[in-house]
Amino acid sequence: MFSLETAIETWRHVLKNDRALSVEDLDELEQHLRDQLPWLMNKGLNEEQAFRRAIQVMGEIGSIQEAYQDVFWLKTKYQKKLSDELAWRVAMLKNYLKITVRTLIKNKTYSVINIGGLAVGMAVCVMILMFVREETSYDQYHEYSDRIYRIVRGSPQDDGTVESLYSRLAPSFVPILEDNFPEMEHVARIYQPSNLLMTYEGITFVEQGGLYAEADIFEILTIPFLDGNPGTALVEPGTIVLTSTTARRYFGGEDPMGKQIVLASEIPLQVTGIIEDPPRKTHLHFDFLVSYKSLALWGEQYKNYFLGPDNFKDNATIVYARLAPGTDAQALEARMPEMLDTQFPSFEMHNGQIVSGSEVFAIQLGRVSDIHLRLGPSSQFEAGGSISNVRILTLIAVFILIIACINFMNLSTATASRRAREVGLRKVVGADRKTLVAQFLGESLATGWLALVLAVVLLAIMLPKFGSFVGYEFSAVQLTHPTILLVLGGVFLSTSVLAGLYPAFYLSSFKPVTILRGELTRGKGGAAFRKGLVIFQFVVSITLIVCVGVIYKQMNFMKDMDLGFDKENVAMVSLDGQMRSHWEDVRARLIDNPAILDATISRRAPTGNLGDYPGFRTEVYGEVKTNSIHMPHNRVGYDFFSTYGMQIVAGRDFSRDYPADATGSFIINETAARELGWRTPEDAIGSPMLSFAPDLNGTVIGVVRDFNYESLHNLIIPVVTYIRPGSANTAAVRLAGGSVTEGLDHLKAVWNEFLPGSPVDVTFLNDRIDALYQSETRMMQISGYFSLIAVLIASLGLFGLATFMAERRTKEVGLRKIMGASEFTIMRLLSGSFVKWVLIANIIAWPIAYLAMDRWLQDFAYKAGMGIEIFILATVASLAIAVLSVLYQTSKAAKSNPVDCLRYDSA
Amino acid sequence: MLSRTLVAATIRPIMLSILSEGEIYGYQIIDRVQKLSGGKINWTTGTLYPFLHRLEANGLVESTWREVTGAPRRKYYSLTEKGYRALEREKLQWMDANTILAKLWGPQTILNPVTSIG
Repeated sequence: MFSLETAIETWRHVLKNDRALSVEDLDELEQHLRDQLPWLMNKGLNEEQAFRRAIQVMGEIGSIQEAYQDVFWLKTKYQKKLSDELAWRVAMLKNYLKITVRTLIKNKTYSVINIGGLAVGMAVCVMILMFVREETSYDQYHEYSDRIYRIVRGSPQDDGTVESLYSRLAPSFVPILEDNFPEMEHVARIYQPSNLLMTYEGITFVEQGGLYAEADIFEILTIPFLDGNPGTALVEPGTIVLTSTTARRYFGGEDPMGKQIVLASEIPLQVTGIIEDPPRKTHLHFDFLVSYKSLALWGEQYKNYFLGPDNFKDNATIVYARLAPGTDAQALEARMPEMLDTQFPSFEMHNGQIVSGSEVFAIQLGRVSDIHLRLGPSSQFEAGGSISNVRILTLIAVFILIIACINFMNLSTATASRRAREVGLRKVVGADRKTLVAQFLGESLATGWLALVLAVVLLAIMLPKFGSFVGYEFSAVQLTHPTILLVLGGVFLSTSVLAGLYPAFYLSSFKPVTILRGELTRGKGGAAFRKGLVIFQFVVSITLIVCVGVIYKQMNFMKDMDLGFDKENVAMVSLDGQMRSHWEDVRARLIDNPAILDATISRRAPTGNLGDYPGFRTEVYGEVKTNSIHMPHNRVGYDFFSTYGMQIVAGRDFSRDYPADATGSFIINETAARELGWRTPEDAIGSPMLSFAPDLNGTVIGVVRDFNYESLHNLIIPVVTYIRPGSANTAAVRLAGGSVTEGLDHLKAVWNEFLPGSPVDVTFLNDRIDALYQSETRMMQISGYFSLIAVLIASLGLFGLATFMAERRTKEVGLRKIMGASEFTIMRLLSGSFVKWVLIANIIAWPIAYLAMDRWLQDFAYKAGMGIEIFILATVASLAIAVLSVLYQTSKAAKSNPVDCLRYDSA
Repeated sequence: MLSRTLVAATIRPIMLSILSEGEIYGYQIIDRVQKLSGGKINWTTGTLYPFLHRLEANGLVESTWREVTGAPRRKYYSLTEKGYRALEREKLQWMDANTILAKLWGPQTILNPVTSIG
């Protein structure tokens, strides 16, 4: 029995088989069918005949479907519009993501090396970047930072060049500079006294952070005022400006403005301003500023010295200048000799010789913002950074980043070729090249993103620790700084894209048929490229190993070097006038206690700067020599050499038993004896030494073994020592080794006896010496750690690559085993090429490392030398790393059962 | 009966012209074409609907499902603004073609088809 509804349902069902026809389309067609029926039945057909006629008219089902298919894509695109398109893309993305995750998990080793290495690389790079940013941003905060300069005295050399020896300038040059160079808008002098005794309401502080400063300093350096008027605060004598911290120390909660502090129990100073504490990143730190004119209050002699018109010899003051906008500082400096010659047409030297100004003096300008890093250790106000350290660290950061990126690229490209089959299949089902490139780039970006996230986590953990190590406050918050973000983002993008590009274009260029048939010839070019990159990585690693080795050797050498004195158990205290005048009594009280072995006072102490030289006339084997060598002087009290443990090699030490020692006896060091021309130290004894000061004439009574006053960056220079306790500013006390605490307590007790109510600030000589090398030691440690990280990342990369290659050759290994190769032969075969690479890398790295370290060592007066052992060590280490990582993998391959190997399908 | 090529060539101008008269559904279109051509053009559903859908995807035609009381649910088609412009272009082209043929054949040829002479 015919049922129209069943018939239509069946017809519709057949049509429905084609996905090109939507439900809507079917509804429309069904209605069309039904519309024909009444008309056909009117013509006398029964229901069944009408239905058959109608579907006949509508056409064959197959051709209907075909026609609908033709328009299907067009329709889908039109109808589904945005939301469906998006859903489709999300689905594809999910698929890609799934594949990415699967690939990462499948290649666990590579993924860990890849992501971990890159993350560590990025993290280290950012840390170094932040450190470098801090180091290079000293004194940038000054409003006029682009045109403020420090003016220093240089030393004209015989060859016409000027050497920078000082960071100061004699005070009387300043009015001359102001007169001659109107482009110096403001010039200000600063004098740094060794220490000042300041009393407020009966409490006395020994201040070491005080400066005398001219009022114009506020026009040059940016020093924000919290209270008071910068224009007038330091104009008058007897005025003082305090930093807020110092103000709190003296006055607590009281208002300090207008209050009086007494300097050295005689000079009253009125507080005329409160300023902000100097920021961390400046070369000039201080606790308070006393007006420069207050120096005149000490007496006529001081007034002439600091404010008079003819002190050109003592480089006592630090001089700053602000130049007019657009002034060329170099051109200005070039005009200095001419000005000096006009100003001093005939200058009389100590020895009566007459010379022109530019032969004795040179004046140099150094940008204030360059002081911290670039103006060298000999010309610094306080211990600064070092541009060469900053460069070394930057280089290491770049190396680490390159090594990590190479790993990332190498492992991505290597593992990508294993996915040829996937690419083939994708191509067969219709992926075009664009889609594939997008897929591989996307995967690479996703992996890079993981590394980025990990790097940020690492940074958040490590930054504060790193910061406290290098002396800055770092926190994760600073990561949001635009520069840092830019670097992180840039590294992430460039590495990911570079690592993704190769597989993307290489793999997507395969013909699917070739891949699926398994006829893919594996990219020889790719292997050579990777080989080159691995060799490059090893060149960098070996260079770093050698450099760290040399730096380490040099640092140890300096640590262990005989300084010429005994640095242990020497306590040092700054000396003020009152203690100095009672020194003999103080000393007697001190050595009363068996815990104190000896005590002395001096103007210069080891770890300080030697400063100026007075000029002497000597007679060497009958020949008169005047000022023939640069020979700074040290004015000391008795027992100087014995307290410091310095050894007299000829003649005798100063002694209270010889009255002449108090005025006319000199002890020179070995270098001085040698440079003056004495063949043996003994020959120098008894020779005359005459200065042009009437009270400074006598004979050489002894020669002391060479010792280092300054840092080991500087060579030992000739030094002459004579007794002038009145000039001393530092006391040194040698404590008995076993009873240091007891000795210290006694020292403080004695100090308080003579100077009640003031705190005693003791430092130890060995701490001071360590401080000289502190920044270097620290830098060495940082460079060491970071180099280690670089080497580690490089070895990880090699390990990954070795794993990959061993895996690649599994089948070959299996075959060779069947043919009778021993495990050893196979391991040799597999690791042979790596050993060759590493050796090539060594040959390239050696000269690079040698040249780099040769330059670095130039900075040191005493060199440990590089030594072939460091190079050999680097070679052995690099070979060991290579062989071990390769062996681990190859031994697995070599020991495996050949049957398993042969079954292994490397595609 | 028109040749397959000619049917294919005329489908676009005819379809656009019919749609330009107002809203219409599939069955009516086929019916109308049949009547207009005196049975010489017979579009199948397999031709009609995909073609309509293509026009719709290209934005020349829009469609709505309408339920007129007492009648089943039907999908009605009509021309869009873009559709009207397309029709104008079709018209111009066909006029050109017509002019060429008219010049070649002369006016009588059209009035007196060959069949009627023979």
